[in-house]
Amino acid sequence: MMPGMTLQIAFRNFTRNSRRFILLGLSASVGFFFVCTVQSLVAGLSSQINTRGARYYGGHVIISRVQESQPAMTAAAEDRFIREAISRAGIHPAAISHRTHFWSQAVVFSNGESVQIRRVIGMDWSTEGVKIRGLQFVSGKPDEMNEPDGALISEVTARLLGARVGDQIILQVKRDGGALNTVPLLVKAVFREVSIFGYYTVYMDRGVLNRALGKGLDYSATIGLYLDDYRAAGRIAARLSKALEGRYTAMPVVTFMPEISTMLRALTLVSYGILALLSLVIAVGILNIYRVIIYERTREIGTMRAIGIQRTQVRNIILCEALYLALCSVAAGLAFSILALSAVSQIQLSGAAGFDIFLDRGHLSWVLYPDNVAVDAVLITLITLFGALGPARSAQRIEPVVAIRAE
Amino acid sequence: MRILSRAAGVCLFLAMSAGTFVAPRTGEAQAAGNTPDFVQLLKKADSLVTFPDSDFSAQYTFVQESPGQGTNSKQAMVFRRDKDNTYLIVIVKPEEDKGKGYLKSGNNLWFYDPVSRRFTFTSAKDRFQNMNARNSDFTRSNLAGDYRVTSSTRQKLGKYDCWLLDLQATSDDITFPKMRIWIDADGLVRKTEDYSYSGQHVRTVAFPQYQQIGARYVPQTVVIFDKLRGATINGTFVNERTTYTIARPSLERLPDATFTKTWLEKLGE
Repeated sequence: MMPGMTLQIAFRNFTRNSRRFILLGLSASVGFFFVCTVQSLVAGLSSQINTRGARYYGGHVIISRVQESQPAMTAAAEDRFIREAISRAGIHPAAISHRTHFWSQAVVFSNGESVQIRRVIGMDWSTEGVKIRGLQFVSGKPDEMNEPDGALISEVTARLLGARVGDQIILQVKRDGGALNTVPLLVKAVFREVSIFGYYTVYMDRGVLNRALGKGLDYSATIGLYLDDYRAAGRIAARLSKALEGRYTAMPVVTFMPEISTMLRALTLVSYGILALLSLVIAVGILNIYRVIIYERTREIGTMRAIGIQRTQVRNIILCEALYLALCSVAAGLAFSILALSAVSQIQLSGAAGFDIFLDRGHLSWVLYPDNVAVDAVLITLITLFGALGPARSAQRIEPVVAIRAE
Repeated sequence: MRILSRAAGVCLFLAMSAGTFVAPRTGEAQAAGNTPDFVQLLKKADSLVTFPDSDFSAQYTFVQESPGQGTNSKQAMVFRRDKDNTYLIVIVKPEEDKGKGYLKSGNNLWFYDPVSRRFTFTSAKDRFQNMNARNSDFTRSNLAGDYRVTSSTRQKLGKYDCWLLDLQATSDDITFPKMRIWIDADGLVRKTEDYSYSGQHVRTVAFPQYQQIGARYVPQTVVIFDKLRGATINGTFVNERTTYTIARPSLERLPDATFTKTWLEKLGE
């Protein structure tokens, strides 16, 4: 019998005996639904953290000097060396950022009020504007940041200062030696961001910050790479570190957030745990239900054997039926998962203490990566086939005479 | 009487800090040919409030007035040994801050918290106890070394005939890179205006009264106006202000153990 015919017979059997497969299909699709949903949520959380982290630190991969005091090349030579290393490593970043950060007791003043700033970020709007626009702005025009005296401040800072868009604020920093310096800035926009990534953060022009700190205009403390897929950050950082010949280090942004990355790792492990547990339950369930199905179809199998279908062909037909079952379960599970995730992401969850870092504008975010879905689908299919293999082997051993005689 | 005298002094300096000056007399002074050597003038100002031959201890009482938010007061004991460029400050009031302390030794400054029993590095440039004073305000004066004079003029500040000097820091590690300073005929600093590197007026410090101990002087009251912090009250911007008074000054020698972490820990207990 041709393989095409095996598939055809299996398909006919599958559609005609659909009632028998409903329970089985349901359990497999529920399993796929859970796996898919949990993974998408974990991926969504991870994506949120990485997006926020990249915006805060200036990229998914951060390149910094091994020692800040190492004999410095000129900023231009340094930049050229790093760009060549990026090119040598075969990396194609979506954007390259140059940042100066100041986090040593900066203070902003307005209307007599003062707020201590945890991190002042000097960046180039021309290269990073696209990424920074991803912040949730509650007022103002972030595009006016192309003016050098512009500043983006958080909603919390704005409230504490009593400052609004268009107001002047004074940023106080310490120069390298420790002397106080101040810079007048104009609030161009106010953004809403979660605590660790934004309550006390000011975004401003790098050149202006450099001048205030007493550094060269084109100085940058770090160079960052924004990637199209943040999941490649670890791999790319390792590759780039080699290309940088030990003069600079390249690290994925999650290494700057050790607590969060530990939590994400734990969540990922939990999701794999759920996946393993579900796989086991599905495999056992399929095995048992298939045994019952094969028992119920003893006469039918006997008839197939009586009309000349070989033992291996019987096994293949049953395995093909299991394959159809797996594909339908994956499709149904995926559809339910998308529906459920879409519904959950509509719920406003702002105010959930400690959870806000995972939310996208107050909503739970989820990401369905095709490669993850493909792996899950293959896994569920293999489990279904594995569960059906034992009963299929039993079926191929059925003698036609005994089978036809069976009640 | 003493309270009245102190109040009068503070009022005088409120007026001084508001800019109640008589017209400058630069030309007159220079024409008379009695322009002093300003480096010597700064050295004299330093020497009058520095104690290289003895230790110094006193009780400091700080009162911070934040417009619209009330006042906050603290009391501290300050121990200085200028020849070693060291000081130790321990907070004695209020109760919740009691035992907190600062130990400066050379260029290192530690903050001690008796609750966690830990020393942490801090900077002389930081604000003292979140007030308008800075940790550097308690060190020995080194105007002649830290600054160079960029311009000068004679100016009357209240009842004092002063030299008004514009100073520029000689290095980048001086907290206030620019300063205007009023030095009276006795060589005592009567007022300073502290500026950031970019020229932003950050604070004004007034020294309305000094108390004499031997040949040296110790301010009796110091008023610090924060030019960036404050609030608008009834349509007028009122600066945040910290006033500290120095009482029971003494130049008696202190035990060497005073300027140690162990002693600060002991005080914290």
